[in-house]
Amino acid sequence: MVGALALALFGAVAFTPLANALHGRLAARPQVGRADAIVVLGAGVSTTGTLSDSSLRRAVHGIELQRRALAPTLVMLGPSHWPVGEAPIRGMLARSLGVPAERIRLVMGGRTTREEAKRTREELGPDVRRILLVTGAIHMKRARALFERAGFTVLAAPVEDTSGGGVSPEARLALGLRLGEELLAQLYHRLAGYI
Amino acid sequence: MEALFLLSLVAATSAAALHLARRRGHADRPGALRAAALDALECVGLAVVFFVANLALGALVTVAVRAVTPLFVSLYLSGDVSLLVLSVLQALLYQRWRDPRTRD
Repeated sequence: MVGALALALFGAVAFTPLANALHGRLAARPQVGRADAIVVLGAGVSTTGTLSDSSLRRAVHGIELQRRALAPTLVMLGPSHWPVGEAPIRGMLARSLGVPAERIRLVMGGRTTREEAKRTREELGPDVRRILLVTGAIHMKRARALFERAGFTVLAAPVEDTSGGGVSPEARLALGLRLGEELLAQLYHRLAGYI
Repeated sequence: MEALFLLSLVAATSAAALHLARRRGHADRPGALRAAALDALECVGLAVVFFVANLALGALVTVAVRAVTPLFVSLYLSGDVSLLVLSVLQALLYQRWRDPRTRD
């Protein structure tokens, strides 16, 4: 019975547009507008200093928003991992793509979205209220709730959660896994009283 | 299109394997294919049970380590796809071990 259900679920996720439809319902819509800062959440870096796909997508979107002059400050986040940190690498990327160094803030040390919200509030101070939040479209709901709890007014600037466009069976499976992961994370945050 | 291509590959190799098995007389017993399919379903079910158990244990250990030590362990660590492959191996081994045909 469990096996049949698992196979049916696998078939539905990999070989039908089910994951895409669910993603369409759960993904945040962009609300891009002027803000005090663009805040780009961390998403991982290898020990050799290569940003993960997701981290790169978020960073590039943040840089694009900054180049459109939607906010004076671009905040790059990431945990402080030895030997390389995600935030400094994103900072270098932003500078190489034309963002002036004085407009870039690096906020390190946040290992979870909740810690990132707390660290961002500590680093930016009370004057920064309205932020353009850059993260994955599915992750946005939880991230927005955590940043609003930290006292920010959040405008969503979502990016795609997975690469590949979600049309091949592999991409659909990745999307399905990402959806499952995020729904579990939301449940955990609700049970723990974080959101 | 990709889905159709992949499913066609699997259908073609399955048909070839069935043909070979019949030619060599391995699949003469009536209902053998149905029994094999049920065994496979049982194995998939066991793999899911092992996978969920591994995930739950991983989450529990992660939360415990965070609570009682200064170390940080990411919850995403338990979501590694290799855990799924290892769970399938656990299920295969467990199923074979339980099967009376593999006992002395």
